[in-house]
Amino acid sequence: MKEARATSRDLFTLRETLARLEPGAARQANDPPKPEEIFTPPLHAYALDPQRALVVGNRGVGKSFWSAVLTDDAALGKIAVAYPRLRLTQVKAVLGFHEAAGKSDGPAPSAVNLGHLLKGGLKPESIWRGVLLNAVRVEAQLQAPTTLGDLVRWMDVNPEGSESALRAADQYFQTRDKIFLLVFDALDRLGDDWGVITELTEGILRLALDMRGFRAMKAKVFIRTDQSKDDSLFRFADASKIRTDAVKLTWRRTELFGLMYNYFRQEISCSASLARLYGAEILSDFDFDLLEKEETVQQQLFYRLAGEFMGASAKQGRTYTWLHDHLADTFGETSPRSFITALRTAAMHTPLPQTTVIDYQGIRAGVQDASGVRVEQLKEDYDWIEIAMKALSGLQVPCDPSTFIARWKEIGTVAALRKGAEVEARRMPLEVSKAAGIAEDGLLDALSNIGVVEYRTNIRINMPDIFRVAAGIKRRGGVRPPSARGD
Amino acid sequence: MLLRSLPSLGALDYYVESSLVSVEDSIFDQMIMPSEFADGGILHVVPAVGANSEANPANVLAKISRAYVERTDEKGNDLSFLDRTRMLLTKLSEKSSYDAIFVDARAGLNEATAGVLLGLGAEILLFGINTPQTFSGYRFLLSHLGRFRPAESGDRDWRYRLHMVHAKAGPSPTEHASFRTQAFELFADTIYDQEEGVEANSFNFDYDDQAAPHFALTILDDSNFSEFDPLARSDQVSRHFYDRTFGQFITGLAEKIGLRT
Repeated sequence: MKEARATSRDLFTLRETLARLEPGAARQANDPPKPEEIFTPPLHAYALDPQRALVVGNRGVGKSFWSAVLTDDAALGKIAVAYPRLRLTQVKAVLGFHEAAGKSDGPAPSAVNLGHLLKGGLKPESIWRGVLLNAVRVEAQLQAPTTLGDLVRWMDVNPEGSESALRAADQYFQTRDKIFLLVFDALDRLGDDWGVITELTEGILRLALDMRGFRAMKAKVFIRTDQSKDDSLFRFADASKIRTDAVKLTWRRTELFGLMYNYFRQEISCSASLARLYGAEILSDFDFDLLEKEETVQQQLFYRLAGEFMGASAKQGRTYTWLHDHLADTFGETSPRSFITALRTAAMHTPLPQTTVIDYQGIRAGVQDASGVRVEQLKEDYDWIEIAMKALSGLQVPCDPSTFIARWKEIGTVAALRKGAEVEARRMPLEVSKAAGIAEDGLLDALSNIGVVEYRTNIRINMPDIFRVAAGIKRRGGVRPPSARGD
Repeated sequence: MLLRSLPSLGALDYYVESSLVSVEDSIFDQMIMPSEFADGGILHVVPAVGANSEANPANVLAKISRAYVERTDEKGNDLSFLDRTRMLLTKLSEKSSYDAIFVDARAGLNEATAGVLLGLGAEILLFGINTPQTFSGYRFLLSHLGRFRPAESGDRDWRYRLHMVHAKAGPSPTEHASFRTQAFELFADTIYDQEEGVEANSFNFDYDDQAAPHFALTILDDSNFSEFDPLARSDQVSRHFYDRTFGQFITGLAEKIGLRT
């Protein structure tokens, strides 16, 4: 890298941009982002590939975001350029289920309707086949009832007619070189209790497996990490074909830093400042594409932005890795919202650094803030997490798993969760609902399945900083001596 | 092991001599011998025991017991083992300038030498294989050092100078993680500070934090080195040969002491 040419004004501009970052709110699949808001990490190509049916991701990694993008023409047009191999311009995608299903146009049935159909004795798989047929009704030139319940009943008595209609639709897309994609999102909203959710989810997975038989009609199912670990969903014949092929939707370090540099790119004054920091003489000399995906380039420029070390020397660690490591869950993953929050806080931290945009003290403060944000974010999916985590306040990690269990028993955490679950099943973790033995063990499994707690050995569990800090849990060690040198 | 012929004196002679009288500068020259393994640079070795002792091996044990004795100098100051070690290193590095000085301090670990570990201001490598004995042995040392935890951690915290080294490690990452887990437990119990938020003034780390002292550099187990005799087998110190086994350790160490390989 050449010598930096950035002035203190450039540092100011870059800092202001970071401080203005919007961590972003949760998105619904029927609410597509503006094309200019879309960042396209190379790694996400696998999750968007129409050939990959099952996509697994934790809260806040972009399941609903990509569902919305796939099903919106303008947004899809924008990302098609970034992922040329996927030939996304050929894709026509429709939502088969999403959080606001029933409240917007389209074939996706509402949870209430689904519950009603199930009670009427219809099989989950038949219902979803009905949703598929409804979605391709025009292409199949279907002459059949229009309401979902009637259509499913019609299909049950007209198996040949419905099969030929689906074949006709497949043929239609195939001859026009199109791919039809039926997209499922927010599966945890399929019903009010885990029994119904599981039954309907399994139906979706069966349909997804079945649709592999079509040439030009495929399913794309976005599923939460905890649900994807529920073995009872995958007991049907050949389910492993779907499960083994699953793609993990994640943000690695390069994707997150790419996202940050992409923000800088949006504003011309800001990208010019960044180019000067990089040492480029003119803006056109500066390769933003490279910066969005090449780790070493990202790293070197970040050292100019934030300083290289988390203190005076390499001993305290390096900013580029430190920031990411401290935001990561037990799978080593983090969400863009945590990352952006940390950067924003770092940019607002005082005293302002003199020679860099942010510094290590700001980064520490950023991680501290991001912790609260991440727990809030998980709460959107896992209502129970706040009660489960608050109970642990004051404990230390790493510790024996029995420490957590004992605290939950002492406070009566599971009973409190059960009470909430009387109103809505989602307030209870799947693992507790299905726990065969001690309910608190299920709670620990639940935290472990979503990357909050890690079993390091049989007798040691750990919780990464991103959750630990917000939960008020301490990291184990001796209490600091009151004064220096043991006097 | 690094020398074909020994200098007449070794470090032991210095310690014995300096426990009695102020040593003459000439003694330092008689302790240093260049090694032929210096690949273009200079590699000087001060052996623990010199040629004179090798010739009279019966005296060596008696010398060792005298080496730790403290002396009061002409001005009435106590000269501790640490003071004398400091003087040794100062004198040795006056004549030539070195990029790095390695002190092999494993043998004879006791309270005097533990003090030296901190007092010299050096980077400290704690080698160990993955056995309970390793961790119980280091527990003695680290619990002792734990008494000197500062009230607030900072850039110059001595604890940053400790580095575990996982020796004779198997190839599997799980095994390396298991070593880190045990090392973490040891450090957490002895020298880490309890931490509430993400505090700069508490010295603490997570299991897999690469900046952590317990995050061990790894040296793989390799039977090619079980009989280490580079004088007889010079290929043992050729880079292509040792890189797979020692590469991660060498790169990591160079980084920690600020040398670029």
